[in-house]
Amino acid sequence: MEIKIQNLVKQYGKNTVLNIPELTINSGELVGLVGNNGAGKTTLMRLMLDLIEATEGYVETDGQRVDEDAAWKTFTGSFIDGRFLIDFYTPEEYFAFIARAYDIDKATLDSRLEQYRPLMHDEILGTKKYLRQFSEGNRQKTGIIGAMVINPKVLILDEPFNYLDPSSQITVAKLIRQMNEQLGTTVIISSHNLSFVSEISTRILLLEKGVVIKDLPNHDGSATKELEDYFNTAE
Amino acid sequence: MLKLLLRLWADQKRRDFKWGRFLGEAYFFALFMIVSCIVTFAIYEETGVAEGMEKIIPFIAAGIIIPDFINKLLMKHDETVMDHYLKSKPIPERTWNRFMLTTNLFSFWNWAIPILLLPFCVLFLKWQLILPSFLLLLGVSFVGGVAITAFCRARGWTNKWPVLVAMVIWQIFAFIYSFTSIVMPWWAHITGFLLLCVGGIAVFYNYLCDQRRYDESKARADRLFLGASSLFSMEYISVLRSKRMRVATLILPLVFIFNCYTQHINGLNVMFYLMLMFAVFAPSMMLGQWVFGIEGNYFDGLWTKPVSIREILSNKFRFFALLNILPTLLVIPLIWIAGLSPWLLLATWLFTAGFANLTLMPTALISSRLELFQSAFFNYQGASMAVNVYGLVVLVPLAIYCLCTWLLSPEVCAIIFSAVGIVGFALYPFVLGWLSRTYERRRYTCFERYRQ
Repeated sequence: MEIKIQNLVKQYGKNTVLNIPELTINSGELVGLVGNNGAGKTTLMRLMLDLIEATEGYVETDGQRVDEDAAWKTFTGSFIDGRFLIDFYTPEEYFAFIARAYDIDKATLDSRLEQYRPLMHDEILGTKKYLRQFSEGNRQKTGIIGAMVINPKVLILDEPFNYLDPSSQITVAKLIRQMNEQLGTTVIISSHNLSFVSEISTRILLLEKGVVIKDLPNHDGSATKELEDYFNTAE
Repeated sequence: MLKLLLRLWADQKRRDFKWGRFLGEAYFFALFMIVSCIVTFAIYEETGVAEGMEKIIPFIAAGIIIPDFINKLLMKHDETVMDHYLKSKPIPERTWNRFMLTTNLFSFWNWAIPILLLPFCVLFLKWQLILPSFLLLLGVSFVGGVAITAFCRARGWTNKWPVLVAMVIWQIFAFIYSFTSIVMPWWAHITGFLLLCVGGIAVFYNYLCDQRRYDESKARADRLFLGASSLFSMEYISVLRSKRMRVATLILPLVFIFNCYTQHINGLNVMFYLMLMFAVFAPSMMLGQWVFGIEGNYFDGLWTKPVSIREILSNKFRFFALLNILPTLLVIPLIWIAGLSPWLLLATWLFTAGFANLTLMPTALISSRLELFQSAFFNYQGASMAVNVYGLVVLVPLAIYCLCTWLLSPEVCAIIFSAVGIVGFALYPFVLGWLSRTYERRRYTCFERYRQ
């Protein structure tokens, strides 16, 4: 699924936090959004998910404006933060709710959840705990699995490596790349973890104060050097 | 160290202080105070100052023990467990226990009932007896206050039961002791009673010190429900699993149902019917004043999934109608006890579920996110001027109901209420369709409100 951004501006008062005149994310790309705090990564994702109003411009997914047509919801999986989780549900109930919303039958759901067992470490399913009782790391995992379990055509994840232990970070990176390669999912992830982003992304967008200052193709980590130079300079 | 803890506590209180909340609480307390004064003056008018009125004080003190304890059980919320920040600092357990005891001195609920009884002391007692009488009431209240702190601190019912049993023993003991005021000199009796209070505080405080607690999140879910994957099940699960919603939805209807059973003695008058309408309407009224207040906690997740606003609103409307059935069922015995017309009862449910609930649905446009896991009592989180003003609209169905039951016969009322209710059920898809379109137009403002 292709994502197009046209003249996208987001302002809070007089402060412009995002300004992208034009950007196309091609179908099947795995795009990493990087940048320092306040660069506009999460704002861009929220606009892609129609969670905040664009001051100007729009985002199109599969040729439809996300703020005008809800069709994108049927093929988009996303996880931004804890507000995507239903705190009074257990993980099983949460996944079942998602499956129901996306018309996924129980057998399919169970077989898909099986793929995520290595990430769950037996700490999520069958624990008889509500989501609010989980650690941040396990909540993060639940949110990521909830986004991926629908086998989306577009996957949007904000800081997916946050709160995760090293082995889970590696597993999440693998799962994202696997989904992108096997299902052709268009993936957009944001992260401060440059090594993971440059390892799995096919394209990296570097944002600074709401503007895409570099659009780097990243085949076999070719963008790593440029990113390191930028962030070293930024320090 | 105790001083440091108290300063930290005071800072926290100052930071959390909200004028709106304070004035709201002050308003309610003032209302109670006015009622207390009126009742006291009425008694005074009737009896005047009789000799030996001070002899009643020990009985009053013994009489308030259990009601005061129940009141505190519902209202008084203590800091009884050190949070992780404090636990990781070199604060001795003994200091923390003293801190809990000291904060009891500042607890509003420990002062509330003695202050409410102060007009009685002032009006009926000689000036030199006012202070010791007030001190006795305060002492009794403090015993209950410390008992509540111990109760909150104790983990699990095995440790909580001894507090309840001790309270019952204290009540019996105080009651028996109060009879000795008939034979003992008043001053000696009051001194003895105060010493007993000190003893009571010491017992509960010692028990409190024995309780070891850590700030641990619950390890397991209380109970799990099957079939919790549909959008409709989200409605009842959110109520059952969040303390605030659960208590809010249960307590008020129970109060009104109780009122129905007591009110019918005076005949099936307009007051009875008002209580009946309130009883049936109360559960949905409590939840409906904040439509989407629960969903506000996870609306980002809902909005990014193929779930329509109209569907959520429809589920809510149906859930409210089901909720109204519960109190309706509970007042069925009044058909035999009080001669309540079964048709009017059915019509009341139809009117509430079909019409009154529909008037609640537009709060979806103005509601804020509700903190689900906080206490329900005196909790103003999520309240706003818009919600309060909209509360006046909710009075419309109540006013219609009262007017009809006042002016018309039960048979005519039943026909009118049924008709209005059925029309409401027929129109709700259109109303909710309009509402969902309006919500979608204003969604960004609503989302922003949930995030605040």
